[in-house]
Amino acid sequence: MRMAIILALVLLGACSRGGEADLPAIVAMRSAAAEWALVNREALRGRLTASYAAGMRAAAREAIATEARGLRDNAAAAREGAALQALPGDAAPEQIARHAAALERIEKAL
Amino acid sequence: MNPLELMLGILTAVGGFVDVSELVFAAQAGSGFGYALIWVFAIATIGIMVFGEMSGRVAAVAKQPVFNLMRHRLGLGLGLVTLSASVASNLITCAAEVGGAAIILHLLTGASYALMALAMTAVLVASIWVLPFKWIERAYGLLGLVMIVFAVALVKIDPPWGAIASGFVPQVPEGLSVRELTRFAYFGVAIVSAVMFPYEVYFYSSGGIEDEWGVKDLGVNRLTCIVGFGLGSLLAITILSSSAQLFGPFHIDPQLPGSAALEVELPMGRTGLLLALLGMLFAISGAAIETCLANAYGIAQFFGWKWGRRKKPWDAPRFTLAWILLFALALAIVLTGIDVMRLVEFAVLFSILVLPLTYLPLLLLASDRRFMREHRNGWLANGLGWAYFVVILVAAVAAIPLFVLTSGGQA
Repeated sequence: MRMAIILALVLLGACSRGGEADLPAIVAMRSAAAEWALVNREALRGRLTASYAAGMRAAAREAIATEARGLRDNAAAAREGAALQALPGDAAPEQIARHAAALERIEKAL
Repeated sequence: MNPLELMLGILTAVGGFVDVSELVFAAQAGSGFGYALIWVFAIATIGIMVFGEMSGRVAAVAKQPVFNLMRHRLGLGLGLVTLSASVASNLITCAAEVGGAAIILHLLTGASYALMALAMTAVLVASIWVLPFKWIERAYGLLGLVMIVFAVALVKIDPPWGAIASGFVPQVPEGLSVRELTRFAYFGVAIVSAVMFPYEVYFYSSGGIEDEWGVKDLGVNRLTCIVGFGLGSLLAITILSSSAQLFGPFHIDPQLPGSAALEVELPMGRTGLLLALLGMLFAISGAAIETCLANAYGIAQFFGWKWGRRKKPWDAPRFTLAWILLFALALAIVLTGIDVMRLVEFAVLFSILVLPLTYLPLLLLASDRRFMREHRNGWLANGLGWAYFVVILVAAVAAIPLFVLTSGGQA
């Protein structure tokens, strides 16, 4: 019975997307930013190797850039994406986390 | 039963259990849904135990590798469709493993990703060329045991053990939105696929024939599947649990294979980070070899070529050419620059579609008295086999709609 309800909800979900086209990109940007902030926090504590920190930062920044390019009509998310891309790789974790939190608010509003 | 051989077999199965897909999906499932998907891991693990044991038993008693059975049981046409789908699925999986290993090497050394992919492929090809079969399997499986550092890290963060234990009870979390429920269902299907990857059965049964298993090895086969896969799955569950504890509060959906290493770094510092990266490197490299060989085994068995690493490479030339070409193709896919996470998603998606066609002929043959005599499936193996066949059929039907609806688990 529960599985049937889930299936029905899934099908309903398919019909209710419309304005949510940007959601996957926003979720991915928010998560990559949160990951980047965590990496920088740990790097500041001296617990990461230089190659790991550099590799993870580059990957997070690339993910943010890719997802930002895929945004269609969410100006607020595009602004946050641009702001994140303007930050240096070793930006303060709090600064990155602020943008991640802003993206999360946009995500929740959708 | 030689106890040392048995222990090595079990340890190899444990170390070789986790691959890049399990790493990624376990970490994402934990961060997204806490402990609520542990039961899916547990159920899928019993599935791979059932079919792994069956394939090993068939190899030991009927001396038949999986693709030989497929051709005879499904007929040439459907057999060829299954072979093509399996080759595509295993090739994508192999590319995901090579790409994953290259990322880990890149994070360890700082050298370019493309260069590391090239170096990794060269090392893997050399390993298969130089090492005898038993040591290909064991070297990477035993080195993959460094992944136990994830379990140590979980103990160090002292999670709510009761909540983890309750994750083993089948459940759908209360209060999820439609979107979250869809994503939950997607992760459920992806975990079933990642744990029950068809290449594992192709490789395991072909390995049994390489090792010349007979009826005397049935006990080792059973114990290796139950204990080895069971403990291996517990490792994957520790990755999920640490992710729930450490990534969940930061709202991180780990987006890269390298992210999982943070689960060990956070409680254990730099040494933990390095051990986690090394364990992941060995485990993923081992899986790359298994996927590539499984593919070459399948092609050679289907067309009736000489095959096997117990032969010198030049004594089975078409088989040798097949696995070298498959590695070259996997490398070519990686070098196109495609995102490894996308490859992982495609690998899981393709695999779930192939699973029913892989497991049905195996189930039929393992129940066949003419081939298996007194070692054919009993009521338990048959009952579980058919129950799991229904599960993977449902998962296969649901996989593509769920992938589309969730944009590959993103939303």
